Amino acid sequence: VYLNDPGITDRATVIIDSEGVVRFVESVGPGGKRDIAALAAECERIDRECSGSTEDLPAPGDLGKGTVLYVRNNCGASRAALAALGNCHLGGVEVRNVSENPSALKQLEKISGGGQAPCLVTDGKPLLESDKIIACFADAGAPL
Amino acid sequence: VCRRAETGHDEQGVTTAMISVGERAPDFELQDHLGRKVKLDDFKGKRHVLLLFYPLDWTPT
Repeated sequence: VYLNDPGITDRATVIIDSEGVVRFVESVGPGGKRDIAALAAECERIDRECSGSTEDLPAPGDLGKGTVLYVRNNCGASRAALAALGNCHLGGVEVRNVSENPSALKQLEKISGGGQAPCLVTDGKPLLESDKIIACFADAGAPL
Repeated sequence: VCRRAETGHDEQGVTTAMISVGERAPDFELQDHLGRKVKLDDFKGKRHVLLLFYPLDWTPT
């Protein structure tokens, strides 16, 4: 409905459990505010129901040793990439800030041929554009 | 899933209502924030699903 219906501005929050049953639902208009306390309370309820072992949970993803994310200050795309890195709980990614580290900037220029950041370097190959970097993090960090 | 936020009327004047807690969610396929197609059925028996619709504000959804 939302994606196919231009003009919809309501912000909905829905939790569907693994059996397909709706556990939480809320929608607010553009001027409304999500009820985060109610959402957190339901999440905690669900958490308490999960008495099983955490061994079944997938291990945090790992992009491999030597993976570097180059970022710069005052850059929204860099902030987005950093937020995605944190949210995906990935290990093995070193962050280098080219605004504060001149040698990191030189490394970035050598690897990518320019100073564009964010840039994710895996196995020596640069990946530019935050949406592609975030997609890479999402793929590595959230195996089904 | 949200047939329409809150009770309202669609373009044809048909009254629609929001899905309720305890209802079984209809299977659906949506694009995630990265433009990938995600089906509810992919998560069945595996994980809970959180749908967060965040329109405008430079987001695609």
